[in-house]
Amino acid sequence: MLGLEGKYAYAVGRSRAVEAKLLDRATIDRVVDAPDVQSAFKILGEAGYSYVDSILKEESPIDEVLNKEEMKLFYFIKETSPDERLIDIFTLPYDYHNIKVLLKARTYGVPPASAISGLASLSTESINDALGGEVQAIPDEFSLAIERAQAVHSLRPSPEIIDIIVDKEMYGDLLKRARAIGIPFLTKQIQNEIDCLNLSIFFRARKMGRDAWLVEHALVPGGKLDSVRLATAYKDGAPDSLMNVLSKTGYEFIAKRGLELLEKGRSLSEIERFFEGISIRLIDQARQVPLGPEPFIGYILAKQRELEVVRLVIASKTAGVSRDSMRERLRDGYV
Amino acid sequence: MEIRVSATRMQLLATRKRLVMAERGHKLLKDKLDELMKHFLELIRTEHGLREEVEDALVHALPGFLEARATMSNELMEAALLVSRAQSKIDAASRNIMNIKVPELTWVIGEVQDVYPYGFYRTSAALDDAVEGLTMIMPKLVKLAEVEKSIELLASELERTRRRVNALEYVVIPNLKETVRYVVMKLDEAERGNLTRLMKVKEIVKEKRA
Repeated sequence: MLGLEGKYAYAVGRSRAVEAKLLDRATIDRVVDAPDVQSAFKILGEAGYSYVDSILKEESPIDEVLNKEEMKLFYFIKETSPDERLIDIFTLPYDYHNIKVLLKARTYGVPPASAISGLASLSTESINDALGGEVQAIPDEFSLAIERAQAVHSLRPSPEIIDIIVDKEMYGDLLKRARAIGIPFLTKQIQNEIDCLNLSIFFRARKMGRDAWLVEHALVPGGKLDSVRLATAYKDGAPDSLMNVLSKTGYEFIAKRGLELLEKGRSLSEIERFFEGISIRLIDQARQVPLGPEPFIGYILAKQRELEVVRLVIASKTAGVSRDSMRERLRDGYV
Repeated sequence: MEIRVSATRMQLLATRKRLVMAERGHKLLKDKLDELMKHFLELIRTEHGLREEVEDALVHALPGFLEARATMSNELMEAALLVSRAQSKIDAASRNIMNIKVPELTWVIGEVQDVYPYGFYRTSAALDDAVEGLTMIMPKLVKLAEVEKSIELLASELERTRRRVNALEYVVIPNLKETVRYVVMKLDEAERGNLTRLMKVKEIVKEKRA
């Protein structure tokens, strides 16, 4: 029987071949320096981004371009991954996104319109059927998420409750699936995401002045950080409580900086950039592994990061942000 | 200027009456114009202050949206802001300034602890700042709309009143004065003609008697 290294040998070969096509720093710089958005799209087209020419005339084609690139990435995972369950890890967030949107739309009587993602594997009809009572229309974990979101929402009816409960269920589902697939790096990556999200919740909720009940329900279990202790530290309110929870976790510097920013009442975007940095370091480590599932997953994550960078550059360019500001924002933000 | 009136004493009285009326109207309109101008300048000053505050707040809030939009896809942004957390409305009434109906708008927001209608996953801190900034600025934005509409209404009334004052001052009153002068002149002329005729008749009668 093949071990993980042997099982993923073909996938690693394929990802090594295609990762040469990832946008390098020089190409990103060319996109940043492009005189206008159309020229930026042309450079992206030269660098391998398809579907660009046909939609150049549209007002805001960036979402369409990136969705199509992500769809291509999903096809790549499907045809390359030796484990067909792996694709679910990457499409699940979109399924849960659509569940959130349709549940909120139905609960509050608003049209979901352009909030629906086309990258999900579940159809909107089946989600709507499930919301209408036909729970067997979608897999159990999704209907359970809906049920739990509705239950908590009935206790405190407000739209963000649906979001936080469905997100929590999503991470539970992701962790369960990652453990079932049996790739430690994948589990580590999801746990890292959970930790970053929990810290983000802690600081953002504090800045927004949200109550402890909401934070307790929003914090996601399953990461390396203890979400219960984090909730207690939030309730406690003292900076030392947070430092105690984060002691020897590697997140101390984020906590320190976050508390400083909170004290000064400044934007927490800097903290989000720290999280990006952590994620990028994890991707880098994975790509340096010679054989196994890590380089394959590392490539997928690097491609997703690249799409985020392209969105950032094009959106900033469309809004007329200066090149220096863009470069400053991208300084440590690219794989 | 051609004056087409009959030069009669009746006409003179009527014209003088009109002139008095026009001069009184002119004075009243001029007072109204001054008062309107006072309110107008007051509103302009309020508008300047409000606009500065609103623009300052927008300058801080909109880059947040820009940053959020640069890190979130269209679907994520739409989903985050799909449902409004706070139920708000604008109460519209009106008040009188110098008999001009101007709007009175009030931004009424329901009782909510916070205004963020989305969760934390894949939404950015920049969006929080933008939502907070725009929520804070909404009452002032509505007030600014009220003041700017009032200024617009007052400006149009000012223009109308100024046109009336000018018409009275430069056309109607001078015309009426000219008419009065013309009629007086004509009546005087007729008076002189009568006097001459009478003197002539008296002379003829005197000659016949002699």
